[in-house]
Amino acid sequence: MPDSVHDQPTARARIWSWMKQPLASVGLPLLAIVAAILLGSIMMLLMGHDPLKAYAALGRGSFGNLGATSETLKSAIPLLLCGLGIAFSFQAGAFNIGAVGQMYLGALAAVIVGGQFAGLPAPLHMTLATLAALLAGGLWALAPALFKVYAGANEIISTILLNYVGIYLVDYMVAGPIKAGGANNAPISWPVLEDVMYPRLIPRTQLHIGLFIALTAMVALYLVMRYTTLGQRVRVVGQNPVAARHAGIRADRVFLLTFFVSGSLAGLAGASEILGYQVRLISGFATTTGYDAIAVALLAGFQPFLVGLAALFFAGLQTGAVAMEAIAKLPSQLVGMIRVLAILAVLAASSPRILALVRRLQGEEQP
Amino acid sequence: MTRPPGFYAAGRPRARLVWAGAGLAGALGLLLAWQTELGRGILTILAAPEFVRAALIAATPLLLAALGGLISELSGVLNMALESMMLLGAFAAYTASDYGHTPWAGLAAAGVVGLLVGLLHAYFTITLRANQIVSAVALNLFALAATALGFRLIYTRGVFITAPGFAELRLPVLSDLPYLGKALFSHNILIYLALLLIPVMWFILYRTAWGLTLRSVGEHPEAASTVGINVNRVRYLAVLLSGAVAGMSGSALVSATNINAFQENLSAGRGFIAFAAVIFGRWNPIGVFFGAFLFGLGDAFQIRLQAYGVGVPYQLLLMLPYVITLIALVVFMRHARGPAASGTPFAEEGEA
Repeated sequence: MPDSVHDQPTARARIWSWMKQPLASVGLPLLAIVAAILLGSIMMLLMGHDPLKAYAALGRGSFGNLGATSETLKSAIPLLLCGLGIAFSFQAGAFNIGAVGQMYLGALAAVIVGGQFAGLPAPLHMTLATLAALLAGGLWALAPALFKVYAGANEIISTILLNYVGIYLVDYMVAGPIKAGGANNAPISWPVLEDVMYPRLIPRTQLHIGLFIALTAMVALYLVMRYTTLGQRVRVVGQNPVAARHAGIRADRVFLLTFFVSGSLAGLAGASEILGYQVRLISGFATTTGYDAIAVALLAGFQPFLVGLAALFFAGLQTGAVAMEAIAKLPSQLVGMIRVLAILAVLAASSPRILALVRRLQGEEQP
Repeated sequence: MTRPPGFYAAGRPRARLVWAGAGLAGALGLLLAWQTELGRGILTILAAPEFVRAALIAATPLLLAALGGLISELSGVLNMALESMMLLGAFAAYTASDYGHTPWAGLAAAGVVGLLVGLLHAYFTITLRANQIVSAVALNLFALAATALGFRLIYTRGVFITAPGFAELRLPVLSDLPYLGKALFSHNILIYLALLLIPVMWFILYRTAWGLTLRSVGEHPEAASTVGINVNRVRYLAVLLSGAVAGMSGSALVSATNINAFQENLSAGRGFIAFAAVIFGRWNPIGVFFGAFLFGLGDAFQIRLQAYGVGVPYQLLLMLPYVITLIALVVFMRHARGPAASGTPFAEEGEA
């Protein structure tokens, strides 16, 4: 991989040193969430609202009953899948910001395969649609990785540009080639066949087996990162590409691979949205999920299990926001602020400067 | 890499041949296109002064953001937070010109807000030495959330309010020129100011002591520190200035909507395209202009093709500016070299 200006080894090393701190990985996200909630309360007070009432509504709306909880879990699925992919790529120093586009392409592949080929056995058809989405997301991510490896094009910019290309591609497809038949003129795709849809986990809710797919991916990623040579290579490349080269690791291959895996997970997220409950692909079906997932990965310090927790937190805020708006009369956009405050708090608290300070304080306590 | 003797001598005429061939093919293509009705229509679009005019309008927000990005990058701090500066700047510009009844209030507010975002980016990346890319990603998410909330709180009525915009300034004599007058010399004041900033920046960066200091900090901070330059102070100043200029790009973005309006995520990735423009421009203000103008051309072309009705679905035309940027990135990035210390935080000796 050409040593571009934009990925100095030290920058990668810094992310790594940030992740390595146990304090940063476990305690800090929680601390940051608490800080964000407190800052959010101040904002509510400034806006003339009662924070306690608002948070009570938020809590009831997200985890208050079975319906709300399953809704929250359902929203957590794409965040978890995309967040895992992003965490994986960031750990390798491969900054994949393209989850939005990769998720769109996954959804597109799922609806194309899932809406055609009637007569296939249901489990096979379901698997094929899911795999198609996985492949589509992975290939959409592979393109910017190839641009980087063979032309030195900054992957952050090219993934973002491809997000817009992917969104417009889906807009075009649902308005033309895969548009639903009939008199309806709205830009909406044909439906996925009924027996291709993922089975529901709880009757009368929309929670589907995509949850198990996401949890499996989470555990698998943890095991890969912790116990395999691949995980080791990914970490070394992320930490120090020069050292990786001396150790005989093909950094460009690791880069391509992490991008492909990362995109596949986003593609799976797209599939789980369509095959899980949306049935049809609509233009603008998930414009922010892929970006929110970056926040999820950041909040979790790129640790798989913490990505799960962060996804749950974000999903809870998302479903609770509707209730908060209805009951406490607070704009739902406020939860967006709480989320970014949490991220900024994590960023500050896990920076090398603060970590050094914490270490020094600990050192003084135990001479 | 060792090159065979005579490599360069052989290479140059060959390159000239390639260019001549490309020129000939282009001319032939134009001639052929003129024979079809569609081709004639498109060529008419391209030849109209309104085309360059629209491209310049679309390029101005990118130019300002990219010039802002340039200052920061030359000092060694990657500024991928341009998107957040542009978006928050646009919201500030819109709100302040609406409430202050003048676009100048908007421009000032956009600059101040951009400066504050720059302060945040500087604090995270210079003081706390957090990863520069991660900080930018977080700030971009912050801008999305903050503008969504602010817009909702201030403009609850949900009606489209048009803020006062910059007046068109027709330059005397020049604006009467046949083609150029309409294309280049009858724009709003902000566009002239943005263009004026190119030589000003060039002069500051390459002809003043402070410019030299800035670039030395970006190339070799250790050396700069040895000769008594306070590296982190220079970088702070650069990122703050970068934020102020990039914030003003929001004002240009609002005025480029033609109706001086704001909507959620108005910037739509343009901050990242501005970041790419810095790379196309090889970290040079004049090159940066051409990078921004390229995207402006793509944008203007796309809009005109939609209006002309070429039979290509509009969704695919909307992709065009992004695809053009992507191709340019892939083609030009190969030999791009930025400031050597870009992306690396600097710690004074003895600092933890």
